[in-house]
Amino acid sequence: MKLLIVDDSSIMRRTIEKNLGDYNLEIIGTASNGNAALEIVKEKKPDVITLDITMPEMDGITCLENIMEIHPSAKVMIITALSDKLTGLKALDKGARGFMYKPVNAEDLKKAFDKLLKRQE
Amino acid sequence: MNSIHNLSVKSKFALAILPLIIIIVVFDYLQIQEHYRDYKDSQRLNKAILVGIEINHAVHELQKERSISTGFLGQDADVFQQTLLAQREKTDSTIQAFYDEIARAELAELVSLHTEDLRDLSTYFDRIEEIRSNVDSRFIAPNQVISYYSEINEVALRTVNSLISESRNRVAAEQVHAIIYFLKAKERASIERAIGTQAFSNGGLDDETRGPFTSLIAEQDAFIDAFTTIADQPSLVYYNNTVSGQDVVEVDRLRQELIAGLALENDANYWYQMNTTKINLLKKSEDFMSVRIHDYTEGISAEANRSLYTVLVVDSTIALLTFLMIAFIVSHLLKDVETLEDFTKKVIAGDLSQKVVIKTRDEIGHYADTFNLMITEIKKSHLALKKERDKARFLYENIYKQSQVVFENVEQGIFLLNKEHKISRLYSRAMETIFGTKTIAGETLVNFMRTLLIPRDLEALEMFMKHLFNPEIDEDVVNQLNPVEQVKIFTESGGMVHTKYIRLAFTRIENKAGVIQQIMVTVTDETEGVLLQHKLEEADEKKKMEMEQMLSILKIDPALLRGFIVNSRKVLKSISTKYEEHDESEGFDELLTFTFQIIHNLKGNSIVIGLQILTDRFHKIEDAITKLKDNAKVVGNDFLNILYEINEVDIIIGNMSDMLRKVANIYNKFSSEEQTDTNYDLIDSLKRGLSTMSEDTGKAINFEFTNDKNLTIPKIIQDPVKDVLIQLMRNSIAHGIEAPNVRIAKRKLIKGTIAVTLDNEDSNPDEMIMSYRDDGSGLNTAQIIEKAINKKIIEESERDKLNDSQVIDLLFSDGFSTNDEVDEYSGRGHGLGVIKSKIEELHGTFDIKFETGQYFEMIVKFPANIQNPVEE
Repeated sequence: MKLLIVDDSSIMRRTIEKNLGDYNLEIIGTASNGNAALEIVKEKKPDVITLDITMPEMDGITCLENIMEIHPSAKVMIITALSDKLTGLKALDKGARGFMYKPVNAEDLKKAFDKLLKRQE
Repeated sequence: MNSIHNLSVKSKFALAILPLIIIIVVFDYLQIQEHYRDYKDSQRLNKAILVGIEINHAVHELQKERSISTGFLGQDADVFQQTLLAQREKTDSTIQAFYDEIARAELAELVSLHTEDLRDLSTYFDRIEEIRSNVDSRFIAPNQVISYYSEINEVALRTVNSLISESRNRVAAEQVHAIIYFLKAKERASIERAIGTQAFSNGGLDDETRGPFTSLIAEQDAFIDAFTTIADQPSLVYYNNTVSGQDVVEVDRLRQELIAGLALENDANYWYQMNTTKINLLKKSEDFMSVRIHDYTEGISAEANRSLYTVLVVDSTIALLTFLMIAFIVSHLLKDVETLEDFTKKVIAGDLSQKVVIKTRDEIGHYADTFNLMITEIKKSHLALKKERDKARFLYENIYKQSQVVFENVEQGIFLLNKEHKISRLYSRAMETIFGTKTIAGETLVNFMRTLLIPRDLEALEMFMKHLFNPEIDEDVVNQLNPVEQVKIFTESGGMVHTKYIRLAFTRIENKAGVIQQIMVTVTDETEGVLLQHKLEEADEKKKMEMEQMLSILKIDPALLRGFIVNSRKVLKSISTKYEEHDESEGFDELLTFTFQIIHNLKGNSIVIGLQILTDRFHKIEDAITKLKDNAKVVGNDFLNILYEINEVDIIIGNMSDMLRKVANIYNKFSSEEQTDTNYDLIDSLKRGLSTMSEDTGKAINFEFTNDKNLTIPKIIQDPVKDVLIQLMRNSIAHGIEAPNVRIAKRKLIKGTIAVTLDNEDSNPDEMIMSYRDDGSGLNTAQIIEKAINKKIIEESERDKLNDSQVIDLLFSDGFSTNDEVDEYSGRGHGLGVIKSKIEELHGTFDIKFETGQYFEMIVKFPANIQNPVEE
């Protein structure tokens, strides 16, 4: 399965990359902002996307809306440091199927992905 | 067809047997009618025969009269004259008998049927008189007479024929015809007698008559032949036996003579007598047959009558029996059907206790058996079902009761949300306690929480509910976004508003197929926990702060701190001592002033050595004393509060002392260096005190210490010295050294300077001379005087009479302060009072110099070898 990581923090991107490396996911790209992410979604149609909410240029919710328009079958996992629950719920409304708070550790990440992929199979 | 379907079974049966009944009735009717007709027929025939007999009697007499008349008209008139008259009477009587017969009432119907024939006959009968008169007058030929009479007889016989030939009975009809033939033959015989009588009178047949006479005999024979062919045996036997013998043979011989035209041996009378004998025999036979046919017809009539009644009775009986039979079967059948129907109704009403009893072994009987079998089965399954139901009810009630007990007693709020997000009817009692309301069930959760949450949280809750029921999102993922994980709510109970912290947790309830059916919600009142947490946090914070403060004492010079502690405890103790010795009647003013000075001084010291925790405490006590001093009347209890506060401070200081001792012990174990007296700690604490104060007031100040002779202030008097210097520094900062902008305006260095110099005079080395000087604004004498007047320390009149020394004295008077603002460092008007008392403690003297706008200086002289400071 193809994975796209969207996060403006390079440390975060690397953390996710490192921890999901052996998860039978092929990391097809990383993006540090919404527009870059949408380009990759258009081109490569990733199966799974991790998405940050607080990002420059385009916020995660708007980015999610666009992703769902381009590629509705994508399974999106929100990974955010934002503790506001309404925003998280809005993300579910827009079509996100997974949700995690930062900081993430390897164990939580794997558990969350287990659930995300099992649910969607 | 439908109307037939809807009929009751009874009506259906009635409808089914109706054609049968009709057939029976019609058949009976036809049969009875037939028999009745036979009966009527035979009766009419019987009557006709009676009339016929009367007519035949008349015909017979007319036949005789005809012959006699013929004879009368012949040669032997005398012979027949007498006979003729008698015969005419006889004839008339028979005709009269005929008339009498037809006049009978019971023959009216018959007569009416044959009116024409009978009228015809009457007409002919009426003509007899005319013929008779013609005979009497002899105007008529014998042939004509015969013709006349024969005509009458012909009509009479035709009438008889018409009357009796209508029978429907074959036997009767045959016999009637036999009689008719017989009568016709007899009529021919009678004519033969008449013609013969005439011929004998005339001596034989003339040629003209011979032919007809011969054919008459032939006709006669032909009719007798016909009669013998159809007549029944008894009539035939009777005829053969009767019409025979000598006379009959003699007639035949006479007839042959006539026909042959032989010479006649006998006269006309003989002929007549012979023929009459024969005709009488014929008449005898005729009468026999008449009676016989009459009897027969009477028999038929009786028979018809009998069979009519038999048919009536038998058929009616059969019809009645059939009807009764059918009625019996139908009613019996219907009774069974009704029994079944009643029973079925009972079963439908739920009564399974009985069995249907039908004794007949027909289809209904079998049906009843099947029905009973069915009831038994129903009973069985009913029983099994009842057991299951009871079991289920038992389980349900137990579970329900148990869950009720749980719901009544559990401390958590528990309820279910259905797919419309509505709260279940059943919820735990704790819900009412937690939310302080009883209107819970049936409300959607969002509506229920509407008054408790801010709009943004409500919006989140609404969205959250939606995703809780969204099977595409994992329950844990949704629960991470629970917006009511911890909510602060306000509830009212007993007129009081309570703040509560509650936690709502959500669990999906799925069926076996994994479809989300309901959401279980648990509500936990975490108020106690949260408040405890807050308190713990607060306590933690406080402890941390206190710890920091405690630790901060480690930064303080141990000697200074020890001095401070010893001094503080000593002076604090002096307050309680003073209170005990105090006489309440003298009022509290003096005691309050004394206490205030001590506390104020301790506050200054604590500031200098950096003991913030104590500075705050002392400041509070100062506030409390100031308030009391403003009060018009102070009582002992008020002062006790002050003492209590002072005691608290004493405890803190005691704790510090203990801690310090412990630290000292540790220190002692690590260091064995000799302790020598130095000014270092004193100067260091002054520097630190000054820097704290200058930072807080925003005035930058340099501290200069000059000790050219390297003098050391003995440890024992370092505290009072420090007290004095600190108080002076506070005054300098509060009143002396100007704010930076003022200093710039006055062309002074922005940074002020406080200089302390230690010296002595060589001539008197035991006396220390300590000078304190700032480069501030000096003393504003006019302002001091003004204030002293305001504070009623001096009179207005003294304004211009005071010299500098006297003005300085004003500064040291109680209740004087020149700064309007009250802060930690100055402003209570007690500062200089403290200085004065401290210098006295040192057994010292002081001198003040100043130049307004330039400087302020105090020179304190005190003994350097003093062992114990003065205690007050």
